[in-house]
Amino acid sequence: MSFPYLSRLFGLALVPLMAVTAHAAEVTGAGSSFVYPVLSKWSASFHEKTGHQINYQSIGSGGGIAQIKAGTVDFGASDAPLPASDLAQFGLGQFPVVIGGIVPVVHIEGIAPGRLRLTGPLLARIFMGEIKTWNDPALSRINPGLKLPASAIFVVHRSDGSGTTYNFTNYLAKVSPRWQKSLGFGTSVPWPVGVGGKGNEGVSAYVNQIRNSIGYVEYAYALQNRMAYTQLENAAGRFLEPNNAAFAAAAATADWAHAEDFNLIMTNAPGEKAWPITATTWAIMYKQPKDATRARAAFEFFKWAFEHGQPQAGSLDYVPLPPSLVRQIEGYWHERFKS
Amino acid sequence: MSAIDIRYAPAAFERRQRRNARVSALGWAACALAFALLASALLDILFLVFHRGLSALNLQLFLTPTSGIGGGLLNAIEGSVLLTLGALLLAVPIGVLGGIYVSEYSRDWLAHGVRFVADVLVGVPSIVFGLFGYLTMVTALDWHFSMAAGCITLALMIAPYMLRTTELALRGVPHELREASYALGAGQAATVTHVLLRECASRVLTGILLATAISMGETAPLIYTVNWSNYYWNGHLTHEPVAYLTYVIWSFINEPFASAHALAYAAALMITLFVLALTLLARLSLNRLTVRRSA
Repeated sequence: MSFPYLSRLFGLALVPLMAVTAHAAEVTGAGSSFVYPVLSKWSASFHEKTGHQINYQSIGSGGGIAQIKAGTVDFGASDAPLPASDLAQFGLGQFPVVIGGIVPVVHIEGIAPGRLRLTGPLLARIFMGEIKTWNDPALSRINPGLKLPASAIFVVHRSDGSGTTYNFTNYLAKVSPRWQKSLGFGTSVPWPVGVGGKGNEGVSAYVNQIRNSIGYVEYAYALQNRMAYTQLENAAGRFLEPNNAAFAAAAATADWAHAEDFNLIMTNAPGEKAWPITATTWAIMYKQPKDATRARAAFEFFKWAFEHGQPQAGSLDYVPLPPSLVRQIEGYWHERFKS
Repeated sequence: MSAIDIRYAPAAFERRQRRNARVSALGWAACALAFALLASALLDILFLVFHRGLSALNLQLFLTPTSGIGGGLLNAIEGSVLLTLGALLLAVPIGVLGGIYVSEYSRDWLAHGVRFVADVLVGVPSIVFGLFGYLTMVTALDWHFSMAAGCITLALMIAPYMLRTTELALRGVPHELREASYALGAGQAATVTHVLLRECASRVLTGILLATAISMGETAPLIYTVNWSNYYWNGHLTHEPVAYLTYVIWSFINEPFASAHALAYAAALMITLFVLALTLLARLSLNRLTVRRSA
């Protein structure tokens, strides 16, 4: 038997390999795609500092919850908090990791980013299919300076279950009783109108391609794809443009102190300068981990990220957790988690 | 019947001939259209991958591991190569030996069973192998996301494929050769190793190379079994996730940042070139066989 190419193939493949690093703890995580950029950036710096390796796979919040429940990873990450009953049943604890904003984006000829004004109830009516054209009187009333076209509104939402949808629909349910009654909120809802895009990237692509469309994406996608995000009226009645300061204001005014297991959705936050669709990603871990060394390294990592990772978070359009919240989280760790 | 019709009705014959010509032209046009459709889709994909991938290529990709949403791809290249080598190490013996068994001992009821199972497995979508690997190795055996789980899952996927190509290669060998070998006093084992395999080695190798290309380009089975790592493989077979190129394509293209998109396109280009190279290699080994035969 002679396989002349096989040996050559093996030889070729083995040349550039076999770099083995000094052995430190390896931590694996999986879940929310929202935190992937910042988590992986943090883990690179943390690796340089300590030698610990943090591996994170972005498979979506639902996947993160499933994996931590199955015990295949050391931490899960989700854009929607786990209810107390689930935490108790599986012996899990959760805490916020990073904060970011979700923004409505539109594609209307001549409308620049930050120009169009919307309110929560109007947004709900658009996504329910009740406001059908851009020149609807309700929209013109709050946008006196803008020339809005007489064209039909094309709604774009997510086709997959997602934390972004969870926070977006949670906000709509808070500001529109009719939305709450007919659609409720969750990682996916039975959208009455529009088309679905897969992931933030899919929604961005649709909105960029289709004229007179409206969708909702995480802030970073709106910025990186140079999309026309809108202003929103917040709970205090002020129109705001989305930016890191507005997300931070929402995080600061949220009532974390009274939220058991940090189970708090920050949408429609009360502050004057608070962006109304601000979202958190939670890390979920076992209170009594199977592997204490790895769990300890994971806590070290999050502690390091809270204390030193903020500039990197800012550069990727995330908002650092407010100091009071970090103190509360560290207290929660000591109180709830073994090791 | 028709022959009689034709002899006695030349007009009908001409009509039929004209109709046949029309139908034939229509058929050819449909074939050409189908070909053009397939070819243009392939060309479009290749153009996109080369266009975006080439502009994303740089030396750093081959020298450094990924760091967040930027950096290089060396960890993913290493992981992809190791996963494929590991899968081959497991699948080649099973696939080739299984193929020999099924082809040369085919009267056996067990051989029928093996061939049937292999046929079914070849048709199973790759994500089902992923789910199987996840349920058995990642969770039930508690190996977590790891090199071992990935290699075994890939091996399970490509072994039936190799088994079938090996079997077909052996069956392609003329029966006279077997008879000649037995006539010279060789046993079954000697016939297989010294006569049959020597005759169809390049066909068997082609099957192995194509299976390698398949396993190199897979994403779904690995998402379920290997996870992802920003670092080089640390030598652990279980409990540690591994990086691989197709993950970069699948995941990084969905990130908002241009640096992540560049990595995804570069990874797509690398996989495409690698699969292209393997396919050409497979073609070459087949051609060599023909040349040797005719010489």
